[in-house]
Amino acid sequence: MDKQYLVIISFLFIFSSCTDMKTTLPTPKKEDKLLKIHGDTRVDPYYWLNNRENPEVISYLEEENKYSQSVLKSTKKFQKELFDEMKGRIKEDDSSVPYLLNGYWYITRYEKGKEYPIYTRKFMSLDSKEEIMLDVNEMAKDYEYYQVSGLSVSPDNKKISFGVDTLSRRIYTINVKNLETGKMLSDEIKGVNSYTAWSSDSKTFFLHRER
Amino acid sequence: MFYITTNADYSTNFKIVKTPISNTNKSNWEDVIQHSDDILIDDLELFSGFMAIEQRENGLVYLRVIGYDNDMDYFINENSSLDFQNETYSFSLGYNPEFNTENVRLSYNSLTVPSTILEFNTNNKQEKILKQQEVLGNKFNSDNYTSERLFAIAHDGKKIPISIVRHKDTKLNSDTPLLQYGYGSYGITVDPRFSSVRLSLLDRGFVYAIAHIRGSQYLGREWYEDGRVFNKKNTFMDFISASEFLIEKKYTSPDHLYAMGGSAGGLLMGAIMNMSPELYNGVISAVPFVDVVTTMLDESIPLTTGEYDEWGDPNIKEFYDYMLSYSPYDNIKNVEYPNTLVTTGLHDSQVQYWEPAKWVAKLRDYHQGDNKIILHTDMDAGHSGSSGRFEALKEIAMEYAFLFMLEGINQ
Repeated sequence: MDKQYLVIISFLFIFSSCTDMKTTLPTPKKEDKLLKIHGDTRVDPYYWLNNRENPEVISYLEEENKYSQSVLKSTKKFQKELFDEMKGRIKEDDSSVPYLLNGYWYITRYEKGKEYPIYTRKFMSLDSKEEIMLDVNEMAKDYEYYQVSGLSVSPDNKKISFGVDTLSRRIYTINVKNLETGKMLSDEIKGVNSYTAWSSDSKTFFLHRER
Repeated sequence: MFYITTNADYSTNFKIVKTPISNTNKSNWEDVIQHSDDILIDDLELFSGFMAIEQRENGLVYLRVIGYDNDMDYFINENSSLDFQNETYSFSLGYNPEFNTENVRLSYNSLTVPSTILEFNTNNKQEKILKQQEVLGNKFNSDNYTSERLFAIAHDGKKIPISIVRHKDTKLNSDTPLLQYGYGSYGITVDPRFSSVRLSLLDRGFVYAIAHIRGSQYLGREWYEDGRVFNKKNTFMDFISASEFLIEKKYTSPDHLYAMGGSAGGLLMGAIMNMSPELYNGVISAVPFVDVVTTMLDESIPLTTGEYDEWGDPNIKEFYDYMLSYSPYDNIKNVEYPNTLVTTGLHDSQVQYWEPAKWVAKLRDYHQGDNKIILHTDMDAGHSGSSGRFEALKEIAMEYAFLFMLEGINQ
């Protein structure tokens, strides 16, 4: 009895290590959906994949990831070398050419080892003290994806508005930061484009929504 | 005075008019730059003493400086030390927020010259380089690379421009690996730009080509009109014509030709794979829009009017029939497909992850032969992939490794 048990276990072990070595092609289930319009019928066996909330969908995508990794397995070390090579060509502590706008010089810069930009400005002269408007490295800390765009400083130079996308959906939340106190305003506008245009009163801005 | 860039009065390539601020009625508009069938107005920047116009002719950008009193009118291209002889450059107006200046900021780069930002004094015509992108590693030298522009002939006789770059030691023959890139939708032009990342391909013997197919505005607005809605198939056929041309000219062969495109360029990949699968050894299709009809009929997806302008409205039968005739997911057949790497992001809202997922599953159902079709889904990201500047390189490293694997290159 014990022996038979062991045999089964070792068989399972061999089987699972085999599938590990050579991941099989994922075979998603087929569930024909008929799509009818203009007197024409199309049959879509994989329509059911269009639901992110379905755990079966997620596990299918994960299976596909395992399979693609197994196909690319021999290149894993090479991928790392390619990554290092590409990264090695980039100047890590880079900064943009300053431009003068309404009394301030604006500079975007990157620090060594950091993934995201730091948006800064200097009053009147490039020798003035640097003022950090937004350090995206700090803002992005708790996110897998974080993108800031549409930065716009109010005409009185006291506020900055910008859009944030944390899901790579290109749907933004507009935030406003008080540049004098360094505090974010509590108001935010969700589900819009990132670009804003300040009105001359520095209290109003215009924005754009897709629908 | 208001200056307006407009396509009024059948100015397909745009013209520039002016009108008093006090009376903007169209009847007061006065032509400043007249419309031309050959010249596309790309951009206009006004300064206190002059205006700068970015215009495109035969695919190449020229920056023109014109005084308001017609006291000057010349091209910066003709007064600059930059290389405009080689036809694979990108040139554009930079960011110019200062109105009261005689200096214009410009941006230049090419397939072999890194991104350069310069300032041009419109008065004395002197230029000053403010910054040039550094390529670290003590190895890069522009002179080690060679670029050129060629023209393929399309199915209907039109000339399709192709920008090409390679390492100067790369010999051209039917064993040479070549990666052909294309987009061709929404009037977006893929300019020949420098990429330090791409050097990893070029230094390992790959040739890189950009096919300036219809659907872009490389050759003006008409080039775009010829590649949208009922002309959409020109986009795909042009890409294939470019491939056939490069094979015929012995730049590569079907065993070593690779195609790459993303988003609407991913649709391009899907279409060419159905139309001419035998031409390519491998295809990289990123966030591909491949289930055209179903998506365009899906009212729960946030489509914009831009989408209907580009593809048409499948609720109308005429459009439906045409879109169905090229939609990649609906045209999969029993053929040997190229090796294919498909990438997507679970949170993509531009092209939902399920389009590539469904496409890969169905491709495998019909695919003949041993070529690999694989899907990589970034479970954390959307349409643009990773947001960090280095993190994004990991995806490119994977794509390049896929190409190198197919070429038996492993270091």
